[in-house]
Amino acid sequence: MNKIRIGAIEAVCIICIITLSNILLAGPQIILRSTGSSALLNTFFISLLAFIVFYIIYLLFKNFKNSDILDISSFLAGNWLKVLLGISIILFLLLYASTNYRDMAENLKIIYFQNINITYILLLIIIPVAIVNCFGFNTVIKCNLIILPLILLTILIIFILGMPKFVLQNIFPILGNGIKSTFLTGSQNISVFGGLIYLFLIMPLLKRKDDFKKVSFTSLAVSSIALTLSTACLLFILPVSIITKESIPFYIAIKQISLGNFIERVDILFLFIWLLTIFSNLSILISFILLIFKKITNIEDTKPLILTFCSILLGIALIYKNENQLTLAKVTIYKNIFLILVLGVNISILVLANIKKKIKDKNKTIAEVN
Amino acid sequence: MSDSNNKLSSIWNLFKYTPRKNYEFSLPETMEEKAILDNPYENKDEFSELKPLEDTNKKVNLSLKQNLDFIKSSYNYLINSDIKIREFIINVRNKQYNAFIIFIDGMVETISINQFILQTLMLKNKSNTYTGNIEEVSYSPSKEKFKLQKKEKLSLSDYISQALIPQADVKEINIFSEIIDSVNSGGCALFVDTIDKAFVVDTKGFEKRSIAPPQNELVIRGPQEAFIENIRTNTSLIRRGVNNENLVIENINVGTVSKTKCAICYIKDIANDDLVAEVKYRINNLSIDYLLSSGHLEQLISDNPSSSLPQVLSTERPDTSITYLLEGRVVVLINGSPYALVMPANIFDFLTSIEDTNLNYKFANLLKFLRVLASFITLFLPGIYIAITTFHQELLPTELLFSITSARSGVPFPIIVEIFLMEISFELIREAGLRVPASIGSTIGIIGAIVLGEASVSANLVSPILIIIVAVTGISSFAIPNFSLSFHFRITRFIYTILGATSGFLGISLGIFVYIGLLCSLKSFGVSYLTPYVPLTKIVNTGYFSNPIWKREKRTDTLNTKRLHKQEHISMKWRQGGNIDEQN
Repeated sequence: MNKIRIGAIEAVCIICIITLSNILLAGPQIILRSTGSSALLNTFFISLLAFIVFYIIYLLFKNFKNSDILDISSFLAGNWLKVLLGISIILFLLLYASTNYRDMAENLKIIYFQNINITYILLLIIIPVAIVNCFGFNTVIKCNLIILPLILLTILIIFILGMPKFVLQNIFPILGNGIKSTFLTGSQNISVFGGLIYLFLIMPLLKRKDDFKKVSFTSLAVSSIALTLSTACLLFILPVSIITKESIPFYIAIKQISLGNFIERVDILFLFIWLLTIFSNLSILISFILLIFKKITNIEDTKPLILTFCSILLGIALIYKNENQLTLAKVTIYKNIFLILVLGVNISILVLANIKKKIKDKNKTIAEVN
Repeated sequence: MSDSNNKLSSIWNLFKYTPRKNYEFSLPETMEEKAILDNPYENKDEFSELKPLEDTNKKVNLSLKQNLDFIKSSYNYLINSDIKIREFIINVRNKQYNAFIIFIDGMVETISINQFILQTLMLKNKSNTYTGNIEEVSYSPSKEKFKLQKKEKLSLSDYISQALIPQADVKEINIFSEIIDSVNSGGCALFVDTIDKAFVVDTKGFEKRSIAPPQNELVIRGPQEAFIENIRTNTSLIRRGVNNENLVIENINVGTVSKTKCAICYIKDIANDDLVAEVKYRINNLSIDYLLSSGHLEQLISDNPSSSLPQVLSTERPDTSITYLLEGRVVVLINGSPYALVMPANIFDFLTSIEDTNLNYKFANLLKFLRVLASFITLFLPGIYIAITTFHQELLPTELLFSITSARSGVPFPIIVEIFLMEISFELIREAGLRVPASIGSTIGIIGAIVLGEASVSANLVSPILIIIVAVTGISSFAIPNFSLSFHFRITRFIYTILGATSGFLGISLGIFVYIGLLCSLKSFGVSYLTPYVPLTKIVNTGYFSNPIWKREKRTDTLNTKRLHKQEHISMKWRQGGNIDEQN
C-alpha cells in the first residue's frame, strides 16, 4: 500500500469521478424530488455545506499528515476500531456501489435491452471493472485521468445543447416545496458528494501531503459546478412534475436534445459517457475496498480478491427485487448511512484523535520540562 | 484369356515381395525421440541438452602448428569452401618466421590483403630487413624543445604490428573466440610462429546494398536516405547527422551462435543514464542462439511482449533516429537489419511522422488530427455500424434507416456475417497484394475491386453501405504511419465488431474501458505509454500536437533528460535585432 503514490490531479479525479457518477446517475434527480423548483438553490446550499465539511476535514487532518482514517482510528482506540471502521467503510462502499451498479443496469434494460436478462447486463458491467482492476491500482487511477475530462465535457455539451429548450419559468416558485425542504431536510442532499469518503482515505496515498487542501477544494469546486449545470439542465428542460414521476428523468431531458436533422437522438452518444462513468466509478470502489481490506488484514497480495469482491458486488446488486427496493437503498438507506458514517463517525474519530494527540503532546512537553 | 491372366497376376503381385522404390527420409519428430533413438537402452526422464559449442575461449599458442590445427578444426576447414588459409614465410629484422593468415573469401578486400599484408611481410624491403635501434624524435613541452631519443629494440610482435603492417586498424588478440569473431566479420588474422597472439587486420570488403530512398516511410520534404543492412554504414549515417562528439555508439554482440552486432546509440550529455543502462542491461541479458532482425530484438526487449501494441518504435529513416537521439532517447541498430529501434516510445510516437517536423506546424497539426481520426475510424467504425443497425436504430434519421434497411433487404446473412465476410476479404486482398510480385500487383487490385465492389453486391452477399464502411475503415488504416500500430488496430477492430454485435454500445463501451486500462497499464522502458497526458506531466510544448518551432523549447519531461532545454527562450534573435546579451 505504501508503494502507491498518486499526484494531486489523480486524487482530484478520484473524488470527482465518484461525485460525477452520482450526478449523472441520480444526483440532480434526488435533489429535485426532495426540493422541487428550489433545486438550484438547494444545490448552492449543499455545495456551501460541503465546502464547510471539506474545510473541517482538512483542519482535522492537519495533525495527521501521513495517516488515513484507519490509522487514526488505530491511534485512537487500537486495532479493534481500525478493523471495525474498515469493515463498516467496506460495507458502505459495497452498498453504494451496488445501488449505482444496479441502477445503471436497470436503466440500460429499460431503455435499450428490454429483452435481455438483468444478470447478463450486470455481468457485462462488472467484467471490465474486474479486468482493469487486475492491471493494478495505478492503472485504475490513470484511467480516470482520461475519463474525467470526457465526463465534464459531456455535462457541458449537454448544458449548451439543452439551452434552446430551457424554460426558465421552471425555477418558480423559487423556494420550491418550502424553506424547510430546501435548507433543512434538503441539507441531507449533501450525500450527493459521495466522494467525501475518499478524503478520509487518500492522505497516505498522496505524493505531496501538502496537496491535501488543494485536492479537497479543487475536487469540490469541480463537482459543485458539474452538479449545478446538471441540476439546471434538468430543471429548465423538464417540469418538476415529470421529474418526480419519471424513473430516468436525466435521460428524458437529454432525449429532448437534437443535433440538427441528422442526429436526432443525442442520448445514445451520452450512453458511452454514462457507461464509462459507471465502469470508472466501480473500478475505484473495488480498488479502495481492496486497499482497506489489505490494511485491516495485512495480506500481501490483493489481486486474487478482485474476483471475490466483484462477485460480492454482483451478488448484492442482484438482491434488489424491484425498483422500489432499489430506490429505498439508493435514497434513504444510503443517505442515512452516509450522514452517520461519513459525517458522524469519521469526523468524531478525527476530533477525538486530535484531542488525544494534543493531550499526548502536552504530557510529553510536561515530561520533558520535568 | 490374357485379360484374366493379367488380373490374376496383379492380385498375386499384391502378396509378393517387392523392393521399396520410393525414397523416404524423415527426422525424429521430437528431440526426446532423437535421444531415445540414439540411446535406446538408456532410461532418461528428460532428454539431455545439446552439447555446448566447442570452447573457443582457448588462448593462442606459441606453436604455429597447434594454432593452425585449432583454426582448421574450428572452421571445419576441410569441408568449408570459403575459408582461406595462406601459409607463408615472413621477414622480420632479416630473420624468417613461419606464418599464416586466415580470412573468409567474399568477406574481405583481397587487394588490401595482397598489398598491405602479404607483400609487406613476404617481400624483402627496408622495413623488414632493418636490424638497428629505433630513434624517436619527440617534443618536450616543459623544456620547449625537440629531443632525439634512442629506444630499445621493439619486441617481435610490436615490431610487426607497429612497423610492418601498414593498415589503419590492427589489433593484437590472444583469445581464439575473439579472433574468430573478427574473421567472421571480415577481418584477416595473421599468426606468426613463436608469438602467442594474432594480428587481426580490418580488411572488410563484402558486397552491400547502397543507400537508397526509404521504401515504407515516405516523406515529401525530408531527406531521401534509408538505413541499409550494414551496421557500420548505418552508424555513419547517424554520426553524420548528429555531428557531435557526445554521440556514443556502443557495440554489443547478441546470440551465442550468430553473435550479431548491435549498436546502442545515445547522446551522452542528453540521454538519461538510467535509461541507457536499462537498454544495455536488457540487451546484454538475452540468452539466445541467434538474432536476425530488429523485429526479433524488439519482441525480446519490450516491457510487455504479449501485448500487440508496439512498445518500441522501429524506423528505416536515419533522420527519424537522429531526431529521437537529440530528444534524449536511445537508438539500437542491428547488423543485417535496415531498421533502427527507438526506445522508449509512447503511442503518440506511432501516430507521428517525421514529415511533421518538416512542415509548418499548422499543416502538421491538421495531419496529426487526421491520423487520430483515422485511428478512431479504423478501430470503431464497423463496431459502431453493427451496434447502431442491430441495437440503436433510433440514433439514425428515419430516411437513412429506411435506405439501410432497403439496401439490406436482399442480403441473406446477419450483419455480423456480412461484416466479417467483407473484412476478411479485404484483409486477404491486402495480404495477397503485399506478397505477389510487383508486376501482377495491379491484378490483385482489380480483382479486389470487382469482387468487393461489384460482384458481392450484385450477388446480394453484402449491402452497398457495408462496402462504404469497409472501404473507409481500410483507407483509414493506411493513414496510420506506423505499420505495427496499424496491424494492432486491425486486430482490435474485430474485437470491437464482435462486442458491438453482441451488446451494442454497452459492449463497445466495455471494450473502450478495458482498452483505456490496457493503455494506462503499459510502459515502455519505464515511461508511461500515454505520456505526457497520463500521468499528466508538464506538457507545454511537448504534447502530441505541435507548437510553432520557435516555441519548442523543452525536451519531453518524462524522459528525465540531462538537458531539458533544446533552444533558448527567444531562439529567433534576429527578430530582436541580433544577440540580446551583446546589446545588453
